[in-house]
Amino acid sequence: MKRVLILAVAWGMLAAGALGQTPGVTDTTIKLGSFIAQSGPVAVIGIPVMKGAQAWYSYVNDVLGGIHGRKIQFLALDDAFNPANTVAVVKRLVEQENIFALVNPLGTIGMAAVWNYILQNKVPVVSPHMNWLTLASPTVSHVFALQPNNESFGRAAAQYAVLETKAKRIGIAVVEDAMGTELLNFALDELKYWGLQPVVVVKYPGTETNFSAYAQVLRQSKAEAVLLFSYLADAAKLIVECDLLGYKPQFIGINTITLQLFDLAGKAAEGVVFPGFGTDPQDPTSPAAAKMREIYARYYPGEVMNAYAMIAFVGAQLVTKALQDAGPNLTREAFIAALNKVKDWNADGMIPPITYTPDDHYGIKTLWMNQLKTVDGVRTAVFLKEWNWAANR
Amino acid sequence: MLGQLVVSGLAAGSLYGIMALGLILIYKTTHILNFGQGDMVMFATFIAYLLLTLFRWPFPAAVLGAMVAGALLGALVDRGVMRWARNAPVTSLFIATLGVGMILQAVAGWIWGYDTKPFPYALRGRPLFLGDVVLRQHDLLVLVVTVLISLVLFLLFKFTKVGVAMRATSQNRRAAQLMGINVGRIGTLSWALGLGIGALAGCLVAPIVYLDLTSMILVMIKAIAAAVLGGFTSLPGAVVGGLLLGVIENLFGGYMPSAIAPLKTTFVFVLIIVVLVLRPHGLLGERTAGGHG
Repeated sequence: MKRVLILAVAWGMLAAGALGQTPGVTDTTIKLGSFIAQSGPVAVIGIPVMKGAQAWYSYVNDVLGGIHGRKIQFLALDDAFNPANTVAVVKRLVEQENIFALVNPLGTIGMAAVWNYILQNKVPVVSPHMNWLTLASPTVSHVFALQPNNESFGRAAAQYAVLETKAKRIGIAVVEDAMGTELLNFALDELKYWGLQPVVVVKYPGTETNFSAYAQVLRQSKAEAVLLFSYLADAAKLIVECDLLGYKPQFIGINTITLQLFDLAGKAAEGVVFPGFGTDPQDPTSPAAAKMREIYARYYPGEVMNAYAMIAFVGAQLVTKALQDAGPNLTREAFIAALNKVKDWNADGMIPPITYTPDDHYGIKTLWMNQLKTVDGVRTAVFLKEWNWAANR
Repeated sequence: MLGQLVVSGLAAGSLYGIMALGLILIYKTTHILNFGQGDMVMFATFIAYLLLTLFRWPFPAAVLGAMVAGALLGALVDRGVMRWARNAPVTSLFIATLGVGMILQAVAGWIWGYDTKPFPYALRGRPLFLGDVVLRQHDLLVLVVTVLISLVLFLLFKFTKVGVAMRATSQNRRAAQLMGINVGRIGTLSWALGLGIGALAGCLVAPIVYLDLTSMILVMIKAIAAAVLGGFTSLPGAVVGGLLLGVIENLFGGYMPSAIAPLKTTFVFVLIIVVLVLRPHGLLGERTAGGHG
């Protein structure tokens, strides 16, 4: 009897040791960590991102019974979009909380601050909410991008101006920050590929309040199409100033543009083309969106689910799909292997299809080009066409 | 292009000018630079937004409501914070105003969220054309209101009993008290007036820069620059400073190559430093500006 007991204890210790090799995983739980700004100016994005991801993880726990019997603990900490905070937050998640993976983190500047740390610690990163090219190029074995990066947005905007609007005179308005610079460089390179140069590049600081001079310069350039590498409110201010001057080029934006541009810029927003990579969660025609809204409302009753919440929800679905596919003996290796086998997954049509291979962790490559239009008196975003810049070359 | 840049610059500059007026008013009488002015104006403007969207008040009524709310907020800040801390060093009082601003920012975020909100123009309708040069009706209104308010306040300070009492309190608090002036009440009045006018400014600025938690602060930074340029104690000076600032930054942004055009605001600040070296009291400021009487 004594011998049996000793054996049982030894087996138990061995089993615990084996389990202990996988950080963040117990018999009953999987601990996932994240940094998402819940305060400061970017909280406008961070709060819906947090809620979108949390809604799905809660649903998996409460309704689907977890993943192979394990409940998800989603520990999203607030870095207030301050990279100094991000460093502290991620170190805490990895070293103290011992998370299994970093999922749904928000913001390039935070990720850039912890990038070397992530590479050293090899903590898996899945569904990051940022357009940062470095996530996917070159491929890092344990990092899986989700959203299209600035290469896709910059090149697609330039390509659309050349191939679709047939503009010979192309102008660029760009915010002077890391995002703007990255977009600008890819757009310039893409225009060069098609034998063109922009007739004007208008750069403005992120704190700008007065866009009248920039509108003047754009009008003066007689650009037929203007690539708008701006945040939403800045884009609205610029196109309103252009409209006031009677200057109406074809504006082509990036993923910062949403239907809300109509609210801010009024009729001046009419005709603006912008890329999307997700179905509007309020789309009345999509059953997947309806299901998503239903789950979201279960946890956030009365709140309107927006596009940020949608992409975080989808990102969380991708995480749980890979956890499920990795099987009951969850390890980081099994998780990464499961992700590398994701093929044409599109969250029931909510996003363009994603395929990962060991060499390609790019995520969404195809963009859905939309245009702001008033249809039957209703201001809406009309789908134009799919756009895959790599395929168009 | 030159005419349009100047006119657009004047339109932008009048926004800086009108935002500066409330700030200067408070500074003039209390010697406190209200670092929270941008947040307080933002909060009062959100009150107008609430009245417009939730209660469907007409625009003038909503603006009036915001001005009353702003005035009450100003009185509350004075009675609730500044008066209790009046014996603290001036720098602590500055920080106290910043603290109130941050609290209001958090509360506003909690109530109205973090999305950028549209705000209606005071005057809609076709823009005005002066030859090739175009101007929104709203811009003209802002310019007129800015000049009017600065003149009314100038006259208030110069010729009314309350204005004289405000100046007296500003120059020597103890002496003013001994002369029978209720300095506490004057302080409260200044805060109320400063934020009442701030709320009006917010409602006129919001259609251009939209309304969110930070848009007013960005304009306020330029308003402070305008005030410094004009000579911090002069109300008409702030307006002149604002207009100059708007025009100079537009000309710089319009004519400089794209590599340095985004430095237009930096250029303006450099210019301000030059002005301050040559005229330490600003363009129209009193020579005692910066002193504390």
